[in-house]
Amino acid sequence: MVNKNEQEIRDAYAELNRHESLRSPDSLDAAILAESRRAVHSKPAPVRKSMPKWAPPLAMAATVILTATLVILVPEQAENPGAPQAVVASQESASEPVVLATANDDSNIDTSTSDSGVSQVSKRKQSVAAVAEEAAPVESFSRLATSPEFSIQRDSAADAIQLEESIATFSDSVPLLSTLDSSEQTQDTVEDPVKWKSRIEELLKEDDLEAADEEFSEFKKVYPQHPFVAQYEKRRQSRTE
Amino acid sequence: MSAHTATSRYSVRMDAHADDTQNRSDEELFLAYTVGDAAAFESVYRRHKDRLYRFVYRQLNGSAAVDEIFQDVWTRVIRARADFRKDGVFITWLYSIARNRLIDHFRADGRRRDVFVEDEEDESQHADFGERGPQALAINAELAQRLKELIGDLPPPQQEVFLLKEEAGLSVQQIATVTGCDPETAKSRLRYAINKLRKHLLEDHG
Repeated sequence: MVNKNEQEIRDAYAELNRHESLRSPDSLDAAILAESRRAVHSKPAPVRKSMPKWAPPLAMAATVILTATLVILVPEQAENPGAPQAVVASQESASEPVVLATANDDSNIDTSTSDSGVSQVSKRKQSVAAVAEEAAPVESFSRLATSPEFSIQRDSAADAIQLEESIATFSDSVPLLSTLDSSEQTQDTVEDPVKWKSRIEELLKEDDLEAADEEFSEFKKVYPQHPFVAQYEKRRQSRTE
Repeated sequence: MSAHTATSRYSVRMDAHADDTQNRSDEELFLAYTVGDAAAFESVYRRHKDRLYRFVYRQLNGSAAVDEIFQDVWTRVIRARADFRKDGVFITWLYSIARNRLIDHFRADGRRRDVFVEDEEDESQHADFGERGPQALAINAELAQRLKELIGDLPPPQQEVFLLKEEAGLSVQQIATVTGCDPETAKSRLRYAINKLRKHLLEDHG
């Protein structure tokens, strides 16, 4: 709603426009209309998206930092070729508990070729991991586990032996894992499954079934996943039949 | 075909075109121009050219730069035609371009336009004079001339809002859109401008 004051000013302004009769000059009209017609026959000028003022210095700074980083890091890597492998291995070590947990299953599969080492090795791996997790932060354990002395190979029994040697070497050299020694000793007191298995088989041959069963029950307690358990139970069943 | 028949047919066609453009909105005409109808631009130009010219002229107090800036504004409109949105309002777009061009000019000229002066105003100066006020203004050429001077003396934000309202015929909402302020600010600037103009006119001619 227009009040009276506003209306008065509006009237006065209209009077001013009538009095002055201001209009755009004809020459200007002609020039603008000519330009508008010319523009119809050409495409509209693309809108130029100007780059922000800070973009060039930022790009320059990023380039300098990247170059400097490369210049510093490349010679360092050349001097210490083990470093990048350690980085990769430490990334792998993040999945270490999963690998360790499945190690027992792997030992079952591999027993036909080497039923001696793998299950024990996997147990040792577990105990090493457990003790290390208790004794030290995960990160430091990962770093230790990925050192060249502690290169864990999981695929074969030969590698398992290498692992044992590695653990032995490593536990001697690293005081952090000295607590492992006690657990290692308890592991060492447990009889080797191959020897144990052959002794049970001898007892079976001698028809000392009671002693064989007793030994077997001990064996089963220590190596419940060992394929010999199933074999023995099958054999005993066929004997009783 | 005789020359007379051809001329009459041409004039009939032109009249039909004039009727057609009169019925079309600014937006329809300008969108037609963006797809190649040069005549549509001419129609929309003729609708707005004098008002826009006066808007620029009053803000520049009739300086020599008026023609240059006026032409520049339309050149920008022509070049930026592809940017005009289908749901846009042509008049606010046109005056936004004009305002930006004026700001560029004032910056180059060293004159500040963004000073908000209302806070310094004494509200008592803007007392409402009632229905017709204590005195009515006698509108005449002399008073109109004085009004022109007073508009030139208004603080830039008030002057801008006043001209957008009186010259361009924009609503308060459209003024707010063009000037980038909220409608209440635009409204108060307009009220301050009108009260100030009236107060001085009454002092001189009351």
